[in-house]
Amino acid sequence: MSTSHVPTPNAHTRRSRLPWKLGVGVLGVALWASLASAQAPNWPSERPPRPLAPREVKFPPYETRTLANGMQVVIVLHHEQPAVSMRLLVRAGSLQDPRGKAGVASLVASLLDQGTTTRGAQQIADQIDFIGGALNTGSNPDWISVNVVVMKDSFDFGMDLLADVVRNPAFAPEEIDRQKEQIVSALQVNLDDPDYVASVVFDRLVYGFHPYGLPNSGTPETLDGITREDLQAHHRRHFVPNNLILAIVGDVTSEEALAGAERAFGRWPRGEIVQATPIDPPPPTRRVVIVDKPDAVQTEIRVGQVAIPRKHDDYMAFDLAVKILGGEGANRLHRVLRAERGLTYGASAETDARKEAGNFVAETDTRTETTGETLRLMVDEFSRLQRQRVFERELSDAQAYQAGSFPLTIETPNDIATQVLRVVFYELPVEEIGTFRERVQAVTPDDIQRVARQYVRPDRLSIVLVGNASAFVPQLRQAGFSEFEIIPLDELDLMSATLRVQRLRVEAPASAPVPAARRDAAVFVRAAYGPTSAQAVQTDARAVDLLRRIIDAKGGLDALRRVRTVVAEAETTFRMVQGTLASATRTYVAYPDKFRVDATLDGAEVIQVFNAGQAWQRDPGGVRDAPAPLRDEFASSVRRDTIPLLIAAAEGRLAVRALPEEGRDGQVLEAIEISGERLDPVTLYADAQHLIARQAFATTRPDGRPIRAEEIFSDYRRVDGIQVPFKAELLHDGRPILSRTLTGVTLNSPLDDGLFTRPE
Amino acid sequence: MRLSLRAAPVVLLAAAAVVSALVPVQAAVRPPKLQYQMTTLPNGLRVILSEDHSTPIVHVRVTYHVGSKNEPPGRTGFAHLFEHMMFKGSKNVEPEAHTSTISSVGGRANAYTTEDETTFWQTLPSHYLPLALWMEADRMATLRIDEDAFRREREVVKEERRMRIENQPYGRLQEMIYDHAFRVHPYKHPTIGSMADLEAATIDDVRDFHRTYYVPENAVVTVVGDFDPAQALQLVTQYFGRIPKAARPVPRDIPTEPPMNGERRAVVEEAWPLPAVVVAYHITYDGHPDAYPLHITSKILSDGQSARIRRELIYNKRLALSAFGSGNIIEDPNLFFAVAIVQPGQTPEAAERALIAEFEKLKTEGVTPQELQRAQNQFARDYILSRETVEDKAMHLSHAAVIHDDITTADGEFDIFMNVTVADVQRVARTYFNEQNRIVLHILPRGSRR
Repeated sequence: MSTSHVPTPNAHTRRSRLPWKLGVGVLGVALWASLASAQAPNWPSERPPRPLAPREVKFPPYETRTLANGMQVVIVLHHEQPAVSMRLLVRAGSLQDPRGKAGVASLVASLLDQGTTTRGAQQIADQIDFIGGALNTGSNPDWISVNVVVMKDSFDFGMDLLADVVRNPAFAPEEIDRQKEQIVSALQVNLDDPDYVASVVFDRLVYGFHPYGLPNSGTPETLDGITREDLQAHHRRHFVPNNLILAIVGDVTSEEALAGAERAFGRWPRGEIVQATPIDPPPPTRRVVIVDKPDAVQTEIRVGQVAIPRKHDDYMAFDLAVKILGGEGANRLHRVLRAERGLTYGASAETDARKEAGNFVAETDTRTETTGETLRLMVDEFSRLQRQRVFERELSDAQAYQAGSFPLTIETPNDIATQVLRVVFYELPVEEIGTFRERVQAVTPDDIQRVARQYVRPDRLSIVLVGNASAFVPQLRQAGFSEFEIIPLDELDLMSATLRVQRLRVEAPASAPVPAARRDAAVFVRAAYGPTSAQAVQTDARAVDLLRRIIDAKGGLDALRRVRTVVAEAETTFRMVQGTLASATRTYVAYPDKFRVDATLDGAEVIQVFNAGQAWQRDPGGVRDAPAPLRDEFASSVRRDTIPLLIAAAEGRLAVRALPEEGRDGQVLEAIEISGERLDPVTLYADAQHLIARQAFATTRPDGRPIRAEEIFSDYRRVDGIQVPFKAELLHDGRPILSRTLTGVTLNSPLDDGLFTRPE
Repeated sequence: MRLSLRAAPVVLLAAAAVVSALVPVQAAVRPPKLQYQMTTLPNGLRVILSEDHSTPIVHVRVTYHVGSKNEPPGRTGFAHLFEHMMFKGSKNVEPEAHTSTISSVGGRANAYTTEDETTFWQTLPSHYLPLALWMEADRMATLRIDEDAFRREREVVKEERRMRIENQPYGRLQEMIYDHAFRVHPYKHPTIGSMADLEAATIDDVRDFHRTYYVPENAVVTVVGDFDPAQALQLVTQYFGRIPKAARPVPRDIPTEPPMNGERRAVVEEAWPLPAVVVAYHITYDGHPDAYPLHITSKILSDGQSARIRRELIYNKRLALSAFGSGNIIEDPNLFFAVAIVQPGQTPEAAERALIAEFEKLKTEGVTPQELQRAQNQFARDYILSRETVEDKAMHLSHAAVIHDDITTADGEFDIFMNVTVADVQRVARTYFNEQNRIVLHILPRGSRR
């Protein structure tokens, strides 16, 4: 068991300088006279020695090839040790998890080596272990990886085994069951690890319900809902040769490597790649979440926000800016927190730039008693980075480390492969590897200032603290942090908008009967924070308050509950690529779960009906069932309907949280997000009168691509005590799709069930 | 579906290839030998040089033969705390400037402390070799010792203990195992030490420790990488050669642990999510002939998904979230221990029975030649993959010199491992895995104790 000077892999440093240029001897002598232990009494006072003649640094040769079926192959030769490793990436990480199925990619990865159509799990283990090889699989938000290492005399075997586990996984039910059990138990242990908890909550704050915001391994609930078919579908959709990158690294010849790849993968036919393009992560929002773990002796801290994806012109400059904040060669956080104050063992900041989006994050841990001080110092460093130009020396130190350490990053064949794989995966120009040092050195303090101003938003940081809340909350107030949410660890729910299992109750937020555990939490909040305790749950309270105002503006909860049916006539204009198309429509709604739209389109009559889970349509071609994606979309739109949505939220069946205000078109809109087990988050934006001005949600196009939809409501008129928007416009990804003007609305007229029944 | 049907013939061919691929693999591939030279300077410092010109970098490693087992009672954690003090400046190097100076030339530097040794290392572009040697010599000779810096660093180390040990699920597991297993040998204490002892340490302790243990004859300097050996030896001699020989010999008075005379059992509670079960046995030291079959036993029990404990407890019986058993074979006699983290719905008693059954099976049935071959092949793989970098190579060389006091073991052990027999494995199992030499711990989630 060993214990280190600084945490690896972050070699923290401070105020570095090139001493032979600057000379530190004079000060050194003065201090030494009073402080040094006199072990070597006649030790000379001298400057550091000059370096020897520098040696040439060249990126070692490598080859990239593409097989006829589109599979990319990277070959790195290295003959010092008699081993070969094969590293395969599939562009199918948790980014591709279907909505509501977080954990699919991770489960697929963990099952690849647990049996193929011709080898059982135990057989695979026996074979790879016997030859002294190693096989492992893994996943992250961007990819699934499979790595095989074998001695050179087993290269063919290793390649065949790799191809087998990648191409023919069995997904045997008993192995799925085993892996799920392992993952659920591991999650239970992870929940006790403050580092894990802080990281997953931070991702969730930064990325919301974007797949990057959800835990890669899923949660016990999402895992429970994942079926064998889900795993097979993920495999079928993404495991095609043109979606794979294979690196072959080590003691083989280029011909052997290529022939091996051809033999194992060459006859695998190219497939169609269906990549999800998820919704954008939410804009940065100030949110401070405390996960309460009363037995913690330290507080685990994360501070950061959304930034840029890996493939971005500002990546190099931004990465250097973050390194000045907390990386090798500079690290202001390490200096301020550790060297000057002894508040922590390690403090660092890093960019986490992925395929579709990226973030940057500072992290540290400190004893409970110094939590407030540490958080204040960290947030101040974010402000300083954003406001003040960095010192030339800080930048040059960070650059010196980055450029100078390049030869250390190409030492082993696997180091080399990692760099090439990264460039290929992120579709960066391949010359980037060779020009790395020049590009590092080209960054100026002006560049740093520009990217820091553009991407660092100290007023909108996501902050997570995991620790003993009651012990450090008073420190946070003293340090100037007055708004935060406290979530007891056992109530943490990453799939909920509020992050907690609890549901909010609108009708009587303070005095409603609540389960004992919840009551304890409320009492705890009050006891710990005195009369101002309400502030501790202020964000929640704000959401509840806003929801109540929206409901009141709409006509009140009772009036909403009285609405049983709606019949609306409208003029609707569809905007399509070919032009606009006007249509007269009549819509019938019978709550809770029936609706029908009759439309005249270009002279033809079209009817679409959703009836308690069934969906059908009639057009000049006849009557038929609506295809599944359309049916699902109907079902979602029923769940998003404003009236039942507000009622369910008010009754606590859906979770509600407040979002920051947004300025739009000259008006400030307040916003709440409503979500639930079967409801993807819907954001409602309220105007000054608390009428719903906009509603935003994620949905999917018929081809499965996710899009962000927004409805803009205006021209509210009162109908039987309810405010109804007579004008509405629908946008997909910001593009107008249709606009609708109501010409007549009737509430609660009796509707014949036959309207919704599918004709024979 | 179409895809898998069409792929079927290929799969069958691949399966056939597997069978034939298994046959020729009998003896492990012999890795290349490490090339090195060793010199001892007049002041007692040993110097190991090993060239590797594949990348223009160099690794400089200074290992002091002092670790937490050299700590006197009441000063647990001091060897490691002292390691931190080595970054607080020396006559010609400013406080905190060591790491930053190395990183400003593109290098990395760090240090670590174990029970047996303390190592300071840097990997940097090879033309900065003189800088690294000069800085290491400077702090061996003339450490600055400042009261304020000492107090601040003590807080840092306390945070390190909180982070690694106290705030982690199962973070205290190893500490608990050793506390129950040892009575007098300092292996009883964790390297990080106790909070009380860290608090009790004084600035005088720092001065004494430096004077006693941070002397040339207690150190080995290892340089691996892209350099000219004559020039490197000249530089080492120039900077380290002027450090005077120590005035007194390095103390080696470490108490011996008496043999156990009966099984020790304990049931304790911790705020951990799932129960843990430990079965441990006292074993021998690194370099003893029995150590090699014990290493092989670790692999047979725990290396790979086909290893015995993993297959039986995790895969077949589904008793454990994780389970392994391996020897901690270090300078003084230590432990072979197995751990199982018990799955919900399973009992610690069942996990204990399953673990002990694996040790008993080693004694009664031994291992198969196939299992031995597998373990030797895995050993060869580790041997090769753990000698890829200049840091890896330096670690093996300096370990051989410091712990074995025999540099030839850096390579010579390969053949010893390849010659281990199934009889050796069974013999050592019978020697050590006995009830009167056993420690059994059940660590239950708080409040679950009957």
